[in-house]
Order: sequence, then C-alpha cells, then structure tokens
Amino acid sequence: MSGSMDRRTFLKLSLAATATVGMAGEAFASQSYVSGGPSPAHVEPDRWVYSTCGFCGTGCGIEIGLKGEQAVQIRGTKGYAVNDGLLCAKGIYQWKTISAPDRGKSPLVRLNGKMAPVTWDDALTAMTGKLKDLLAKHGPESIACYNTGQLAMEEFYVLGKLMRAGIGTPNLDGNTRMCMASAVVGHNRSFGSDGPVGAYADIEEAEVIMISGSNMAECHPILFGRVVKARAEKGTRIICIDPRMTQVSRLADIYLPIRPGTDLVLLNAMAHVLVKEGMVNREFVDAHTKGYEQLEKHLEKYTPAHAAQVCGVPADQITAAARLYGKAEKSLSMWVMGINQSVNGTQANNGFHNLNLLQGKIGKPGCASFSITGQPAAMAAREVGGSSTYPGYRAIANAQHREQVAALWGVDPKKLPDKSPAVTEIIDAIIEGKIKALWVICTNPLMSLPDQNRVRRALEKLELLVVQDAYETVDTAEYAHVYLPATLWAEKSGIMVNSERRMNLLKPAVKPPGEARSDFDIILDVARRLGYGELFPFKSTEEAFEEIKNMTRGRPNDYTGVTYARIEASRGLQWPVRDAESKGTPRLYADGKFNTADGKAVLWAMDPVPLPEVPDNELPFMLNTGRVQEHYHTGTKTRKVDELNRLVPGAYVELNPKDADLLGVAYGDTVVLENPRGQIRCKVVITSMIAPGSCFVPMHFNEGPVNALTVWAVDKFSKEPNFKQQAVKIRKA
Amino acid sequence: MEKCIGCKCCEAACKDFYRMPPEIRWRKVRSFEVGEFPTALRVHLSLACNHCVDPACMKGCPVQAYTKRDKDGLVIHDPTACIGCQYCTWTCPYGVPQFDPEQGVVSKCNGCYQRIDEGLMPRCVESCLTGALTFGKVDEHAVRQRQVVTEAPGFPDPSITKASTRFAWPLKGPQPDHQVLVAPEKEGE
Repeated sequence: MSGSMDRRTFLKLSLAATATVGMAGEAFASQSYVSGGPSPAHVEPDRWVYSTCGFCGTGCGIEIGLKGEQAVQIRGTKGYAVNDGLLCAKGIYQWKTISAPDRGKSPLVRLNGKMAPVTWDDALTAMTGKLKDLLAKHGPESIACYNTGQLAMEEFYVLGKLMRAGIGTPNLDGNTRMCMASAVVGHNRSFGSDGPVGAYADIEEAEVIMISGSNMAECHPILFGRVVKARAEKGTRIICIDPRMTQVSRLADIYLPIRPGTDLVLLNAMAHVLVKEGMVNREFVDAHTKGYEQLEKHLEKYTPAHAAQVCGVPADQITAAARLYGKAEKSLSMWVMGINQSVNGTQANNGFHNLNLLQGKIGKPGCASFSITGQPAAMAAREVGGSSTYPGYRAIANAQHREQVAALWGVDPKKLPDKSPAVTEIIDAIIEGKIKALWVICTNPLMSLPDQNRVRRALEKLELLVVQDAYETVDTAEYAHVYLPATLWAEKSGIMVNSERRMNLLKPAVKPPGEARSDFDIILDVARRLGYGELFPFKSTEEAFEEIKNMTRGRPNDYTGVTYARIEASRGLQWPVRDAESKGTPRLYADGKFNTADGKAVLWAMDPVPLPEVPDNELPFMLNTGRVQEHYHTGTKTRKVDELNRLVPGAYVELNPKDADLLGVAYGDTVVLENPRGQIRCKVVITSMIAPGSCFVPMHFNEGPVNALTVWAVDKFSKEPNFKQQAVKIRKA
Repeated sequence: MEKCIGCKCCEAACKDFYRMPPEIRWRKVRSFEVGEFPTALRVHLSLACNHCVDPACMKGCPVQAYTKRDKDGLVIHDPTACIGCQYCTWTCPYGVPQFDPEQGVVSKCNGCYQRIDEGLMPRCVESCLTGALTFGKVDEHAVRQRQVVTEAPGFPDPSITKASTRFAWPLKGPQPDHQVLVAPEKEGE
C-alpha cells in the first residue's frame, strides 16, 4: 500500500468519493425520512432503572432513563467493571426498540389461514390442547422447543425443567447452537467443564492479545475500545487472525490473513514453534495437563512452512506470531464466530486451549484462552439447562448427573432424557415427520438457521408452530399457528450472564405493551395447563433463582452466595460465588486444578477435517457471513431504529475491487448471489477489506437473507453449523 | 485517526442526546480506504462543527442567528432566530449546517455549550470508546504525545475559515509532512 500511496493522494481522497468507497449506508441514503421533532430537544429522564444491556455477550451495565412511564434514554452504568459508563451505538439507541409499532400486544391464533387476535386463555388452550393431543398420540419426542440466548436465567431454567422433567422430551435446543456450541464443547474437552476461563480485566493486564475470527471492533465494540486504549496507553501488542480485514487487523502488529477455515493448521503450527523453540512451560504441563507426548509427536508435521502452504500466509509471519505470543509473560487469546461457526470449530477452540496450556497461561492475570459470547444470556442458558445441558453444567449423557438432577427435582431419573439433539437434527426430524410441534422462543430460525429453504420445508410441515416473541412481525411467525407476545428485557426481572461469567440483573423499568407477558409467566402458565404445575412452586423469578442456586451448589458455576441485592450492590458478580462472603471469581483454574476426573487439563492432538464446500469453476466465490456494528442478528430489534437503518439500510455484499471489475459491477449495483440451495439479491459494496475471490454478506437483512445460501454442515463434536465458508456464484441483476 | 475504530458511538450519543431527526447528523463518521488487500488501510474520520476562528456560516447569516462565544470560541446557532434561508449551508466549506425541512430551520453542532458551562465534556467526547476524540483549547490540547495537524484526507483547506479541529493521523500509511506540536514548548526545554 505505502508504495502506491503517498501523502498527497491520501489527502486528496475527497469525502464524497470516500463515502462511496467506505460506507455501506451512503450508497443507499436516498430514502426519505420523517423528521422526528425539534432539535436540539434533549429530554432529561426523571429517574434511572438499573439493568443490563440486551444486545451482545459483552454484558454492559446500563441504566434505563424514564420520563413518566416511558423509556427515553439509556446510559452506561458508571463504575460498572465492563463498560464504565460507555455504550456502543446499538446500546445507545436501544430504548427505541421498546416502543416499536410491531410489538406484539395480543396473542394471535391462525384461523382460516389468517392470524387473528384472541385472549391468552384461548391461545394457550389451543397450544396446550394440541400438545396434550400429540403427547397422547405420538409421545413426548413429537414435541420440540427451540429457544435463544436472550432470555433471563430463570426463564431458561423453568423452560428446561418443563421440557425435560415435565413433558419429557429430549428435543430442546437454543440458538446458542449457532453461536457458542463449539466453545462449550471446546471447554469441556480441554478443561472438563464449560465456562470461559478469563476476565475482561485481562485485556488491560496482557502484553500480547491475539484476536482471531472476530471483528471485535464492530461486534463487541466496548471490548475492542478497551483493547485500543490498552494498546495506546501501555503498548499492548496485537496479533490478528482473520481472512477479512477489519479495524482489528488495522491495529495489529502482526496480521495473518489466512485462507478461510484454516485456523487449526495455523494454531498447530504456532504450537509447533512453541515446542521447537523451548517456549513450553514443562513444569505446568507436567503437573496440570495430560497428552503432551502425543501432542509433541503430532505437531512434528505442522511446521510453519507446511502451515504457510495451507493457510496462505508467509511462514516467517507464523513464526513471528508464535514468538511474540510465546515470549510474552502475559498473553491473551480471544475469538468468536470466525472460529466457532465451522466444521473445525471445536478443534480450533482446543487449538487455542493447547497454546495457552502449553505455556501455563491459564488462570493468571493477563493470560486466558477466552471465547467471547455473542448473546447477553447465552451463558445463562448453558449454565442452567436452557439448551443442551442440565442445570449446574451437568451433562445430558452423564447418568450420575441425571440422577443428581432427578433427586433435586424430585422426579424419576428415568424420565429425564439422556440425549439432546441439535437444532439441525430437530429440523431434519420435522421433515421426516417425527417431530410435529415446535415452540420457538425469542429467536428467528427462518432467518438464522442455515439453508433457509430446508427450514421452510420443515416449518410448513409442522402441525403446531408456536412463536413466542416480542415482535409479531418476526419472520418465523409467517408459519406460526399460535403467536404469543412476550416482553423485552426492559420489562422484566431476572439475571443475565456475560462472557466473563459476570451475573447481572434485569429490573422491570417499563410496562409491557398491551397484553404482552414475560417469558417466565408464559412458560409457567403453559406448564400449569399441561399439568406440571407442581414442578414450579414459585411466583417470581427471584424465588426461582433460589431453586437454581440449589442446583448449582458445589458445581463449577456455583451461585450459592448470589442474591439479586448483592448483584446490584457489587455491580455484577463473576461466578463461582461459593458463599455470601465471596466477591466472585475473576479467573477459573487459578489453582491449576481442572474439572476433569483427574484434575488435569487435556492437550489434544488434532487434524482438521475438510471444509464442506470450496469454490470451483461453477461456484467461484467463497461466501463469508457475519454482523455489522449497526445491526444485531436478524435485525428484529435494530431494524426498528431509524438512526441505525440510515447508517446501514439494507442487504449488501462486499466484493474486492478486482472481482467487481471482472463481474462488471459498480458500487450500489444490484447483484444476484446463488448456489444450488437458493439465491438472494443485494447491493454491491466494493472494498479492499475483502480478499479477491471472497465475498461477505451480513446476516441481518430479510430482503436478502444470506441463510438462503449457507451450507447445511455441522461440526462433528458441537453440531454447530458452518456459517463462514460456502461457495456461491455472483452475477449482475 | 489512529484510535478511531469507526464505531459511530460519538454520532449516536450526540444524536440521541439532542433527539435529532434521523436525517440530521451533527457529527458524522466518514470511512475511507486506500491500498489493496491484505495491506489496505481503512481509516475513519469523525467530524462535526469545526468552530472556526473565522466562521463562514456566521458571515453568511442575514439574521445573526450565529454567535461565536468570546470565552471559548464555540460557534452557536440559534434555531429560534433562524429563518431557514440556508445561506450558511452554502458558505460553510465543511457542510456543517444542515437544513431540517420538518422544522424549516438549520441545525448545527453547538459544541454542547451548556454541558461545557457545567464543566462537562461534549457528548461525543464523553461517549468515545477509544479516546480518539478529545476536547480542549486549541493551543494547549490534551493530545500532547502525538503531533497533530490541521489537515486530513478529504477535509477542505482549513486555512479558509481557520478551523479549530486538529487531527492526529494514523500511524500506519502516509504521514503528514509538516507536523506541528500543539503543546507549547515548556520553558527551559
């Protein structure tokens, strides 16, 4: 770049021209908008309610500003350890999602093909009547539930208990499968139980931070802000591993633009360098891990030269990255979906754990093997049995764990399912006719699961689809027989847990619209109507939390010392909190004792599996998917905010200038992306941030749903779909 | 510009605080890029009113809706005096004043002067995640470690109106050739 670019050309870049190069929004900013009122027209709230942000897994502390009964502003909680008063753009505008016009205000039931408002009693009678019918005729396995990472902990708990101890179906999964499943299984395999090991405070402590498969600048801006500050103030060095250039790569000391999906080879090669150059902490490895000899032998073939061939980055850069990471006293690895959403996702997670275990960089300030989460309560779902676990990080397949749970719940252990199919398996079982009813809570599978047409076929086939969501226009409701209006995060109470295991509180700040009810109330009502009321002897989420605490006592995620009041007073608490005196636990495994049977962490010797799809002559482009900072997930919340829509208004594809030339398309042109699974239309954004031969489409836009193109392939350990690599062809529309 | 990650929190915080209509952007974050993959450089420029020493908006205003404060030089626009003639939107070389058709008047960044008077920082500076934005007197600016300049990519010639905005360029890529230290040299150094 510097060769072709001098100061004069740099300065001459006119803002008009740059807007067309750099910004997705500017190209489409021709829509007209209704003016929102006088400006400046600041509204000062008259009171503030303590809460937690409802967007990503960073888990910022927020306060909801109220004027009368209305939310009018949101601010970051000053002194909160995560964000200390700061918020990202989504967080700032979040209050606008509460009063969106399409909030569900009444339950709806499909009558003669059309959704019609009915009473709660009618809607739940229709739902539970059909469920009882199916239970009698086809048994519990004909019923499935697919939920989210965005409910409160207590809601996940009662849902898990209802599905498994009440109905007795194994078919319960969450959209956390799309997100953190590889991290969960990675933790289990390396450390013996789930749970991110580090704390955000490690960002300020670390000398080197390696950020992989994460556009943290856009997807976790608050965390990346802390990284940028650490870099500016302390000279923290940054390694970035990402096939796509981002603000993380701009600020990196070493940037490795690897070929998509080759992470594990790179990590193995870095481990190879650590071993060959004597950077292994043998004392730690011998005392606290097993599998070293086998790993050492296995790594023999993963030379930097070999990795350079596979990954497409120079061998000396790989060696330099390994040395920078390895020679630092304190180094921290952070990664997200670029690693997890892959057929090699779990193994790549273990690849990071290997690196850090080899050096004993676990459980110490500034050192961690840190998988960041994507949703505000995905951790809570994992911890209390909302998806593929039993409460207290107990494993579904572990008979002893099931017996413990059955004893605590007072049910027959034989009733508790011993398997937990992934959502992709649930979808296939629907198509095969085995599952006949699906209850979807606070997620939008029509837009988010891979291979949209396959998902459509499944949804069409259901005898009962219940969609429970805050917005009645959520895409999946297109196929619903029953729609149940639920509250948003600002309208209910409960606990959320962020990436660093920090439990924080939701407090009801505003009244729900119309007849909308909290997910907690709805789930308990359904349970009572199905005849399982005795399993839920509590009236509030706080009472439910007392039972949850009991389930976690002595477990890795021990909440014994936690109360709602303590969480608020201490501005969040990081579990385990084993008693009322404990101030929480910033880092796991500080004593070198892991949660495996023998207390030793496991070093894994691994080879990658091939990608499910690679570009060829027919489908020449590698399609990558992800998020932009202005929007969240399938846009059900952020696309209700005019200010965010103005910045990024619609579906687009990022193309390298060379590819745009070859295709004969210009900035803002409409193109068609297709492969045998489907096709979408979207606008072109030309940028050199993307590699030639690759393209990137964000996941937020239902007018150009990228999941129509994504491949139906999952990681064999975690069953997490491979969202980041698929082949497509592109033509001008 | 080194620290700015283009998160647009400054713009959002400003806009949300003053309840602007969606089309009005007192602060705008622009993005531009140079070079080729994988060594391309994408940088961001967060711009609002430059509170010029010699404000062109003020000169063009027929009804004196603009005032430049003596005590800190902030250029403040009074929407109640504005007649919506939009001359200022033409005279300002930076495109700062924006016409709000709904209100029939122009609207512009006031440097959060009420907040400044209360001893607070402007909303944009307060909300910046990375410390990329700072606010203070031009000649004793807080960005003392970095050399700063008056010119930036795509920014019109700052000498016309003597803009008060200072830039610190990204560390990678081309560098400004006449850097000036903003911090006055200490005596004896």
